[in-house]
Amino acid sequence: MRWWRKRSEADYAAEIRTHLELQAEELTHEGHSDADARALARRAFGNVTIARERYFESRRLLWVEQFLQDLRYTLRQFRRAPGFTAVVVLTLALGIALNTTVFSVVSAILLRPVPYPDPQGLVAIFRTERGGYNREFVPAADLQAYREQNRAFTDVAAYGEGAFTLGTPDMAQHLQGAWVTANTFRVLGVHPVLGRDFRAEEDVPGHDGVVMLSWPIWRSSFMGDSAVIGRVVSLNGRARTVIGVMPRGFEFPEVEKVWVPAALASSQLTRNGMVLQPIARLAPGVSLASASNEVATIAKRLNAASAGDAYKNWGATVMPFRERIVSSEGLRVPMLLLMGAVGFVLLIAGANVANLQLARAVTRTREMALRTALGAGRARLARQLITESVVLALAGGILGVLATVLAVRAVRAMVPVEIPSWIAFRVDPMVLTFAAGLVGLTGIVLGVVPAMHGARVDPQRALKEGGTGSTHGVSRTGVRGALVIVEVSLSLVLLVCAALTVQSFLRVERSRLGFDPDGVVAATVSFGAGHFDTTANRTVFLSRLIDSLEATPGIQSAAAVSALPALGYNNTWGFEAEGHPVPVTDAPIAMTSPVVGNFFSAMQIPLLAGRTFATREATDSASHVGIINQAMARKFWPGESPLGRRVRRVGDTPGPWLTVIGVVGDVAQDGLGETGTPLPQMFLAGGPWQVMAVVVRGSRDVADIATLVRRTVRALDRDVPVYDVHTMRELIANSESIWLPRFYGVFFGAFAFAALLLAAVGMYGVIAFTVRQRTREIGIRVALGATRADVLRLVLSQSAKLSGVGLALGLAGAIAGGRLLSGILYGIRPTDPATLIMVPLLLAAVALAASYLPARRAARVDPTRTLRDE
Amino acid sequence: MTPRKPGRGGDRVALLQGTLDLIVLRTLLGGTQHGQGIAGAIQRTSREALLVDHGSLYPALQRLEARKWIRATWGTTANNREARFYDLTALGRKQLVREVSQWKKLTQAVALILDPEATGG
Repeated sequence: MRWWRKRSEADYAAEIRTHLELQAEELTHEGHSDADARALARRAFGNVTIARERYFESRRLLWVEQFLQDLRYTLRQFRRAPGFTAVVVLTLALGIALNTTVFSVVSAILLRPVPYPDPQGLVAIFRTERGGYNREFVPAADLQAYREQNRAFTDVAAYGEGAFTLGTPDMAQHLQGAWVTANTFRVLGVHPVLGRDFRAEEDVPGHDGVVMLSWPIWRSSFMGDSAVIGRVVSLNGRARTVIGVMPRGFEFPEVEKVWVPAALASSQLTRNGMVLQPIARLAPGVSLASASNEVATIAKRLNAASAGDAYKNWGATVMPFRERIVSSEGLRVPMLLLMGAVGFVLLIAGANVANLQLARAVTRTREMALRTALGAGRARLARQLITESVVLALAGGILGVLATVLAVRAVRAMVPVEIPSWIAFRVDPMVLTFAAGLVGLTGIVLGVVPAMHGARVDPQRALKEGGTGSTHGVSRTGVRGALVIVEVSLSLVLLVCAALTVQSFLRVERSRLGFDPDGVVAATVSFGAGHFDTTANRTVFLSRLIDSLEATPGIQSAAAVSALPALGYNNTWGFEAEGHPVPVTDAPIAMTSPVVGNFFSAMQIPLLAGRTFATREATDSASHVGIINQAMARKFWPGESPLGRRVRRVGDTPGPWLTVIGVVGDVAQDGLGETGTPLPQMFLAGGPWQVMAVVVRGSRDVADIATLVRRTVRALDRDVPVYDVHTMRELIANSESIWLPRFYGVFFGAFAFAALLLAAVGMYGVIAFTVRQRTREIGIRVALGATRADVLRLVLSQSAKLSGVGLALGLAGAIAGGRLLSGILYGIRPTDPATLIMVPLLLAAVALAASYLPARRAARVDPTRTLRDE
Repeated sequence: MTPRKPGRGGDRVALLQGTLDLIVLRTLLGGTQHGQGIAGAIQRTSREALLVDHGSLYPALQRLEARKWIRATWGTTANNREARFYDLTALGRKQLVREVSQWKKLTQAVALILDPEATGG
């Protein structure tokens, strides 16, 4: 360890010794006595130690030397106090692990850049609507204008997501994919690792028979064979030549695995035609704001030239591409709240450690005084104490990061939706840097506390008093009390937050669905194959599938629908009721979903009026009949019977008139909780889309039903892939409206639990310490006739005072801070009186229990022994 | 004969900052010498006028050695004692020439300012 100095130190010492001897010899020759000569030689030399020190300082390694000395001393100290060390390290590890875990989530969601070169320059063009809504989709017709009329971008590309069916000899495989303009990968700045990029001439209908594969598809479906380039594959029933393979880890725009040219036909280039999502590269030196202004100007020009009223209010804006994948709008506040709350946990942990260190500083007063008396400078002592706390923080940090690695894994498992792999929570360099920063900050801040105390030590007094340090008792108890008050108040804030978010989650989970999900299995089928290009063919397939399923014993009913209830909307339109014409822009919105089969009985949605579809209607797309929900009945025909009434889709070319034949109960279509507020909804007979959900209700085991659905689909048509097979219960539990509240509830619950634990330990520590300090006083009291109950009361009243002040402050904080939570709460107000009464009571009980142990010890004080010991 | 008192005393002059290096190099021009010998030589040659803390000599020697202007080897003194002997390197000689000429320029300039009549001409 000390190789760099050991030799030369001895060498140097020898040299100085020689000097002194030679000098003394010379002086003896001149007539001095031996002793005299030695003394004179030494005097002429000056301070030997200083010369040596200066030598080492000149080598600039003194600080390393002193640091190692401090470190050795520190480790010796810790070995001597293993209990203290373990508690401090574990407390800090808990605080740092929780903070780093939350940061790994927050940094992934809010900070981590998209995984393409120069991510700052990659932007998305959004369409804006009245009321400040940003829409992702821009008509393909407008794309040309944005590409040609701008000076802000080096290039503009666009894409649209879609479901693809890859035909292979044994079975059809469902792939999430995207249509892209030929320049998309160049705009992203990513090149294929195998083969070549799309060419401009392939972005034209008729010449677009090409496909780009992702790395995982190439590996899994083509065995990673490089001869795949040039091979013809069947994609959605169409022959396409494989031209390339994208690099490993490349996903675009989200988790898509296959890409084909957009190849827009001129007939699709109308403002109510095909829509795509444009992305662009900012030209060097162009700001987001100026690019936004430019696309807004182009949008105005397009509106002026456009005929339809519906588009007059369209605008355009530019945002970082990242915003399209992770919209920070709804996430920023909850993420910052999580970060702030977990910061509280670290503060509480820090307060606990500071308290422990103060208690220890008292027992170390004598040691510090001794070191001062022996000539250690104040700065050197302070450095020693800071070294100690930095080592503690470092140990806590290392343990904390190890725990984080495990915790992050658990947190990943809490996100049930497929997210782009670059957002996946992990311990990356940014997270490690954050952990290192926390360790440094904690180490220094915590070192300052005892260092300040150590600096005040008066060696003479401390040594005389024999190290009890009772003279400083008063002010230190004040600091310790203040720390406990802070702990109690912060814990209360966290407990209230946890109580609110957990109750909110429970309310969301128990909120009304409007249908019965138990015993229902849902699966998705995709009609990519060429022989399913008409709705009639799809209807025939689905009818046969449903008949076959319903003929199986143990299956009560089966149906197909375009959007499963509780899992969101995917198609809303403006409608007008017959006899009530409205301008296009004011038309009330309703969601429409085509259904095939006995959907309402499969989902147990009650029929309130009229009838359900007749078999003949369901297979005839020209039947033009619909079943509406209560919300739609109320919205379109308030106070009247909607049966027999007609509505139609509004637009430049209005849809056909649709006759209402029945009214069903509202379901929480968009999800549970607040988002589940029913919106007008209309179910249409037949006309299935390219992707449909199949629902099956049966009394059989759900696993059996799932197998049955897969087998039946495959037996009917091998070209129809069936995927995402789950029970309805699973789908609901994993839906966004449930998992996010659960996510928040779990996090706040964990913080609150940690805070409660730490606060209890802190309260125990402070009371135990005071009892030890006041043993003599208590002894005197008992000697003078105080009963055990009196002593118990004396100690507990101190605890009660501290928690009382802490609870009052915490309650104020919880009321002020709870308002920030209101955005993520459902069915409970931040000022919920029951919560604000029960939680402080719980915390008070825990604090009292924590101080009862030391109080009982105080009550057992034996006056004769205590007084004799003094 | 009264014994000479080494160390602090009388009307001795404290060294100017940075001149110790020059003096040490100049002393070593006379040949190999150990630390105590250098200290004695400085005192004798300066006719006891310079005040050099023997202790401060060693960090200076260390510094010069680190700059490769002098090199050191352990050897034995005339009366058979182990001592560390210092010797000028080629680099050290060059440095000495440089420092001497600088020193002369400096002293001339300072002398001019202090007494323009005497040296002016």
